[in-house]
Amino acid sequence: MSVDYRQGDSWGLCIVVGALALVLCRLDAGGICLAERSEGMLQIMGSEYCRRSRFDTGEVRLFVTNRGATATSVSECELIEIDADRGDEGREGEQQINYLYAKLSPPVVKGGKKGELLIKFAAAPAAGRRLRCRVQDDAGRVCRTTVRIEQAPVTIPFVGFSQALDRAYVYVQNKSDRRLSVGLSEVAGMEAGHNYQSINSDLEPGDKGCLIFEIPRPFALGDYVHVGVWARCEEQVVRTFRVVRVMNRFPLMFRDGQTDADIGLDSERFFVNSTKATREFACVQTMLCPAHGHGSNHEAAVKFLANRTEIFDADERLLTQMWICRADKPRAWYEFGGLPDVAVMNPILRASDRNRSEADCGRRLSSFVRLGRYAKTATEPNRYLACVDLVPSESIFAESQYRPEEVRYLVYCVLASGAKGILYRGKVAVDRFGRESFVRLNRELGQLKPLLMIAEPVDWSSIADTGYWTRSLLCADAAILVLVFDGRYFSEDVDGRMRTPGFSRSVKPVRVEVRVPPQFSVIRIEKSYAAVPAKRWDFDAGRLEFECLMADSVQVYKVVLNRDNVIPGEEP
Amino acid sequence: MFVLVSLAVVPEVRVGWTSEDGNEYLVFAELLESGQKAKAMELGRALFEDVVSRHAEHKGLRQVQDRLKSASEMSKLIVRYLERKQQSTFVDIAELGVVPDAALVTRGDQVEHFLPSAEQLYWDNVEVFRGEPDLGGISVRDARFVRQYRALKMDSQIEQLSKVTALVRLCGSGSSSLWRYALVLSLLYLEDNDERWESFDVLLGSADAAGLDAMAEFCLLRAERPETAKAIARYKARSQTKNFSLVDWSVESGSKCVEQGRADLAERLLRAAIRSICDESKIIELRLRIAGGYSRCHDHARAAQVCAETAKEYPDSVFYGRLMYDYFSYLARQSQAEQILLSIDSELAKPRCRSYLAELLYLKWWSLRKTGQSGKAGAIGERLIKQYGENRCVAPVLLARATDALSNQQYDRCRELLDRLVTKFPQTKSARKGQEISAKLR
Repeated sequence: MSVDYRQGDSWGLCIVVGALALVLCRLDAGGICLAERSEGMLQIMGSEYCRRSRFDTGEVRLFVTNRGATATSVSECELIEIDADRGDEGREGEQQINYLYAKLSPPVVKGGKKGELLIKFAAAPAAGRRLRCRVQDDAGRVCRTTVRIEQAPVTIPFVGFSQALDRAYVYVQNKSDRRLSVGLSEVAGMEAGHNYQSINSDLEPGDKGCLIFEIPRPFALGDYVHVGVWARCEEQVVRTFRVVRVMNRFPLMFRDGQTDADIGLDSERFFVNSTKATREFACVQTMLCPAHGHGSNHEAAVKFLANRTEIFDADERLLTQMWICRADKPRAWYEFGGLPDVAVMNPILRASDRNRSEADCGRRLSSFVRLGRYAKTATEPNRYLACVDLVPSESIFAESQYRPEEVRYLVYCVLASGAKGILYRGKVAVDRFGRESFVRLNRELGQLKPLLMIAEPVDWSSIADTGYWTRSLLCADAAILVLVFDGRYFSEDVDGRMRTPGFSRSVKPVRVEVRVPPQFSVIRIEKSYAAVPAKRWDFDAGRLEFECLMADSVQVYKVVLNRDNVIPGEEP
Repeated sequence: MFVLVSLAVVPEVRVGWTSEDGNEYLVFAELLESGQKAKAMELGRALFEDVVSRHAEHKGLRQVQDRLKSASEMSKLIVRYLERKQQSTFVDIAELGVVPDAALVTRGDQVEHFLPSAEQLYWDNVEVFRGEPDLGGISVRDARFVRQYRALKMDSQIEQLSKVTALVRLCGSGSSSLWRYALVLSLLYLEDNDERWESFDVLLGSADAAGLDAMAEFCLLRAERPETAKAIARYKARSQTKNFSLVDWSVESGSKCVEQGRADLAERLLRAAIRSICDESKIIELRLRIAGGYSRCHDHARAAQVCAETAKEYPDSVFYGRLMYDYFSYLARQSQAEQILLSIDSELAKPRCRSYLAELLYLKWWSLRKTGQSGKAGAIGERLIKQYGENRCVAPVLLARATDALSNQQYDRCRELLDRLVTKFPQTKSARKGQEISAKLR
């Protein structure tokens, strides 16, 4: 017998028949249920529902543990909508909910380890409904749980790792409409306890924070890592988990994986196009766009997952990459974004204003950043690499070649949205200025890589001047990257295509305000080669104001942080 | 003679050491005059510190200090970079056993540290150097000295940069674009219209032709300094004992600006060239270029405006017809068919437009079709075909007629028109389209 958990209940007790497992659980926020009935080794420890955006059909995550000694996988799963009148037990075969795919991470869960089953809906279910999830492992054992279609209040949008892979940066976002305080519960099976540091752990609605964990034994690239966080609102506590891949790379290369150190790109290839495992590289791009040439979306997803399993069997640490093209964007991004460890999308596209969210209306924001954010949210907590065309698309831009400042603008637009690498497509400019500027841009990115690798977009910077706009990236406890954009770029419309008007270049002082998280102060502000003079910035009580002299299309400022005093993490 | 004696009596000059008339500033000036720059620098540094300490709150002096400091830091940064570039060349040479004792930089070291672009250095510091510091409130002598000292410091740094750049270039380890670094300090130091550019040997004299071109291009396209670009181009012409033509230079440079999407800058150059000439034909030609530049940058509105203004200024010119044709063409590119129809009839009636009658009639025909007046358009089209059958403008008319015939299922008529189109005007877009349709008809 199981107890139905509803929002607002404080404590519940679950008795597992047959497996003699007794689990204490607590349900607070909608959609998260803990420990239901299961038979056999794979046990569902919790679940949550999430809909990433209005373009997304939504998904259910089941947090699983393999209680047995041997590895197991999932062979089948089923979703059935529960009829409220009939109570908890729906009739078998009735109101079955179609899903696009069910992805287990890792593909095979070893004995005693945790995993995550992501089930992507084919169509968005109605809010407030309840679903019965039935999961069968490859030995035929079945476990079940119930999920309510209510948005989880907290999410993990990204987990970054230091270059030495000895630190994990777990970003948390408050998706509810109430203030939450957050903390870290575990990383890779290690209880966090007090042994972590937090940045901005008291979150207003929509805000993000970061939890930093020192890993006693550094990970290896490609490891599967289970991460857990908790969130508290008054007396209610909610937990969520994610399984992420360890990655400390920020690829900067051509779209086909070719590199060229002479023009500032990476010197080593990161990925290779193959459906088979190739151990020379960290990542395998197994599929070029599931929307083309792979049958229906469901068939394409199944095919990808089959390739993924094969690659995992050959080498557990190999990452998988998928190119998701722009057909039916951003919907296709949400459909497939959860599948690969690394997704490649092109956000330098024409965006319809009807795709603009209410939050973006009235905000000065490039449409490329907006599209980039869709790419980011479609793939969280995994990564997306942005494809940037070096030759303007005729359907989007009026000019046939970019100015050097325009390439810079586009690249930083995608980075502002949270891209974790750039894949260039097309030929590098042949004129002297264009080529030199391109090389320089890549070298600048190379310098910023250690920060970009662990960065997460936040909404912490603002500008009053209407001619400019800004985005910021929190780079854990190291810095805040503040990007300031000149709004004149790509601001004109010529027969429905974008162009930058000609204007005289000059230096314009622009005042930028940045919110600095509590318990941090600002040591200095740096541009790419020099510090901003102290007389040009002022920091007081969590607020930084500085003057930037704008002359370029985008200028990048690194706000170097210092922690005032180390506050150890707390447990709920 | 007196000056020479006094210099001989005072071999090392410091503050507190005075010339015979007690004026260190005079000694400083004399050292400058005699070319003893190192000594002048040493004395000047001490004197400058003295002036600054006596006027600690003076805003103008602080500006001078800031500029000298920025210039010094920038100079060190660039010189360090250039010297490393030079050293990397020596690594290669040393391995060939040519310079065995040179201080080697091993291959494992990063020879090229991150140096901002010359462009970035310029724009990051342009505000520091803007305007002339106001030295009012200090004595005339002090002010004169400060200006001399500043000039000495800047000239020395520019000279050093030029020498190192020339050396690096000589060693073959850098492209001509390195000259931009040497140029930055000079650009910050001298205003656009400073006469000294015309004979700025300390920098321009050290550069080769490619270096001068690189500097001129930088001034024009990256630093918004067209006057300086012109001065460098003029210097180059003089150094090669060639004539410098402002008009030719403006036309060539204007094209480069347009390629970079800067039709506005091209206009600035061409208007400066226009001011230097009186030939009406040439003036109109340059104005047409300005309009053409805007059009290539997709600013057809501005292009049309330039043509209209020029036509208004020169209503009796032989180019009037061309101006009106361009004007209406640019309106057409903005799909402004109704605006074209408002005024084209009056232009068609003007004798000055006679040489462009076919082209203007074509634009009228196009506008009529665009505004759904196909009856009137048909009449114009008929006239064009009959009277101007050899003119390229007729090509789209033939195509339109052919497609109309096709819509009316008059296939033979359609084929006849398409054949005529492809035969008479094979290189046109209309002919290419016509060939596609012909192929489908078969």
